[in-house]
Amino acid sequence: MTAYNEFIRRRREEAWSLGIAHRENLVAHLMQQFRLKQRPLLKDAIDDLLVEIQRVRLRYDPLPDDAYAQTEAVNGRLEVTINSRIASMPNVKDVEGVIVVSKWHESGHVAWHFPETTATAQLIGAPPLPGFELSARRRIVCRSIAPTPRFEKEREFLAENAARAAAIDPHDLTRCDAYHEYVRRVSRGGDLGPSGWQILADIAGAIGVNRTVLTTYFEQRGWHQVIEEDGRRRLVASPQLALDAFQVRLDRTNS
Amino acid sequence: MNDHISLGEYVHRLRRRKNWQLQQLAEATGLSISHLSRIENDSAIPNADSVVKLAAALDGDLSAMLLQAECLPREILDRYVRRAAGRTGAVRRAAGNTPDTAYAEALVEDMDARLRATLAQAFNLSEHDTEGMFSLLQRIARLPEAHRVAFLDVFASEALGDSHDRL
Repeated sequence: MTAYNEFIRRRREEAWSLGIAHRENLVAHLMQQFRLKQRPLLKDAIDDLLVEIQRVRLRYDPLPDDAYAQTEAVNGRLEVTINSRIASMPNVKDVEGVIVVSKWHESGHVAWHFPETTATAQLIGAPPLPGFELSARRRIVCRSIAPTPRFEKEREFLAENAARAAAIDPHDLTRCDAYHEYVRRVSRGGDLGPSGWQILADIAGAIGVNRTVLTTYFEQRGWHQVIEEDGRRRLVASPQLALDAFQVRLDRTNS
Repeated sequence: MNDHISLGEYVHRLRRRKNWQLQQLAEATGLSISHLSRIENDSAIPNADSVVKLAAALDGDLSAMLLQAECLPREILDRYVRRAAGRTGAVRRAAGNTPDTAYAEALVEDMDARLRATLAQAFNLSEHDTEGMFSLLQRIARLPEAHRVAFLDVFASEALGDSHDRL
């Protein structure tokens, strides 16, 4: 692996950690506020997490089709707008899944990239991850002056990768039959075949994300590889070690 | 932090408190699901009769809701002006597409019909002239802030006065 690829891998894992911590913090507050006895499915809870816990205004309005969603400060209040035209965008097959991941993406922006929410973050006791405190403050200052293209790229890299980790919750996965089938198939190794794609689609539908994001996330986690060959894309299980590692992390998250 | 709550947010919270879906609210008020969805999104300006029905169905504070409805024309117009102006401090999840030419039409078509009609009449435009309306919104956005605020205040007051006449 090149030094650059290794750098990207580490930054991505940092973003995942941030996204997971962010999700768990919000869900904990939601369960406490609404006295929930059972953890809700994230796809059913994301609106409440944004509106009730992060206290943003959530809207669905037409936006230009180069954006799935946006966050802006309006009269001292943060507004998250989901593009009401996503269904008519080219190459979007799973509108609801794209919307859920977009909400998580914007949720991250709300938490980390708007100085207006510093008070909110403190209110809900969002703990900064070790090593992130200084960079978060720097990002806020950078944004208020005039974000450079590099800063914007870093900001979006963080938000997107954190969103994927946040949206794909092991608690939701373990409630999904298709996911257990996926684990069984991957543990056997080899080409997962055309039915492997359907399994991923079923998992994505069950947990409320789009298949592309799920496929990419699992690949980046090391559980399968997508190989392009003769114009076809094949889904190939990764070595058992990676799957065992995931299972251990899942068990620890659930305990 | 600004604690102002819009009519749409208030209606949404009341509906959630009753654990109702939009279907149930539609049955209780006689309003359509699509109209209710737009009200909750602060995209439609309900007339006073609709506000009364919503307050009754949801056990809401009618006085507060009527006051919130009065603020809507200005809030909605301000939002559409911002949308027409483009990126104004917003951060976005990029979709990887090139910006399209259909956006202007989509934005203008999405405006509350009454607000669009009032704007068209005030500036001698056809309600169906989406390009002209979009350009108008962009011109309003480019006004110096004090002028834009004054315009929004005066125009919203006229739009509201117009809607009162229709009740």
